[in-house]
Amino acid sequence: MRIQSSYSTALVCSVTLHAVLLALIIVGWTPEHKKTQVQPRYIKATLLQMEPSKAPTIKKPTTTRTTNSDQQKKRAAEKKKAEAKKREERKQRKAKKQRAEKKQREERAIKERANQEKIRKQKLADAKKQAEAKKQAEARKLAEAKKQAAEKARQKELELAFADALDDEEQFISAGQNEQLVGSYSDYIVERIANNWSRPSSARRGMEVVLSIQMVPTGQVVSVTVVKSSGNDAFDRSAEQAVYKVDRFDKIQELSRAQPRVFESTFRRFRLLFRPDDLRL
Amino acid sequence: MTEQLSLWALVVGATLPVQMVMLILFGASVVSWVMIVQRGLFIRQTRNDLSAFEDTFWSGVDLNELFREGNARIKKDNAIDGVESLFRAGFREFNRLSQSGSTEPEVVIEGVERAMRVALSREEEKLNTHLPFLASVASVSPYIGLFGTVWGIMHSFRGLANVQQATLATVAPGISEALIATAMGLFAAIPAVLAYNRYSANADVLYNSYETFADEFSSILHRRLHSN
Repeated sequence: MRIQSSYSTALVCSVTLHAVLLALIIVGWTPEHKKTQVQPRYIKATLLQMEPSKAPTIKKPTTTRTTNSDQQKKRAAEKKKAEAKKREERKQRKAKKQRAEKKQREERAIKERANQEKIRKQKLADAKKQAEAKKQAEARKLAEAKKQAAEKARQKELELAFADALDDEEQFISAGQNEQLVGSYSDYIVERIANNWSRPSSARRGMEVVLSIQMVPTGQVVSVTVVKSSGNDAFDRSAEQAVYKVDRFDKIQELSRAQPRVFESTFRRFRLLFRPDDLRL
Repeated sequence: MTEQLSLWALVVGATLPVQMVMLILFGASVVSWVMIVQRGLFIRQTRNDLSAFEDTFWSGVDLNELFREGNARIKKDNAIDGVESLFRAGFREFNRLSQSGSTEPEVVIEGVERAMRVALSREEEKLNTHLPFLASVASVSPYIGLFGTVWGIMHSFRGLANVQQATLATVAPGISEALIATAMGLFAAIPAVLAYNRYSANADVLYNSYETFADEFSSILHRRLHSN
């Protein structure tokens, strides 16, 4: 019977212990360590006026052996004490008043000083402003002079540029006509490269590499260099290899024969933006 | 992910094997604590009984009276164990043998000793109950916890294989959850180890004092036989 009772108490103990533990875990109790903020030590400094310490010097009544006069003397001493206290109180009051007055005076003095300083500062500031205004005026003059000079130069340049532009215009017109031609040929180049490209496993959508391709009029690729890497070496290399695989763009030869000027201006050396799923010039 | 993972969330979110491990460990911990408390109470009780009985025994009380008193207690449904059961076994055997007529002292003493040896081994059994369980919890539960941890870590690394970019944040919760299993294993094991060591030492001490009492009692009976 004793053993049975000890079992039941043991069971109760154990179950409560574990229940408490579980409850703590479920509630989400974790041993927190409090953060103690260390406050910087600072010393608060205030200006104190030194007070002349007028410590009351109480003379102890000297006790003499004559017992009769003792009480009288005591009384007299007490009176004296009281009077002395009163006097001291008066003195203290006076001293307080004086101190207060002193303070007021000092404050006034400080205020006056502050005012004077303000006025001085204002004067100084005014002077500075005037100086600055002068400087600015001078600067403006200089700037205007410069501007005029620049305008003259610009007009000259414009005249020169106009002459150039006239020359260029003719070329531009012919280029506009050639745009379609260039477009069709660039599509052709893109297609050839795309057909020869093998996708590396690490290629991801959104990667792009800029290649600089150099050709000779026969359409033969002379050199390919990576101008702007995609950040993935394998991808860069695959793009480069695709161009090398094409080796020779046959149609470019026809173009260079028919219109050598267009070839020179667009396909002699050009940049190719290479993107998976979307290859374009 | 600034929200800190609570322990409970980790336990709930663990994979099934890890949860099973945790459940086993929790159960082991509960049972081992039952044993620990029960053993503690039992050993304290036994020690008190021992000192009380030795006091009355050596106070010069009549052995017959002591035996009768024990009889009364048994009638009141109070089981007697500890030293007193040793005494009762020895004394009963002594009385029976001496009343049966064979007055050979050696035979009587031999019978008494045999009876007391049986009682002693029964007492030893009582002292050592549950201690093997505590020992096995102490030695096995860290391994079970470790198994849970290994499984959890395995799982979280397997999950890592499918992820393109492996960051610490993808494995950390899994590992944390797995480590809870080890923590629980240790939680179950440490008290069990302590309790096992303590209680087995106590049981040894008690057993030794029982043995000495048995020797002393048989020598007393021996003296009595020879004086008669």
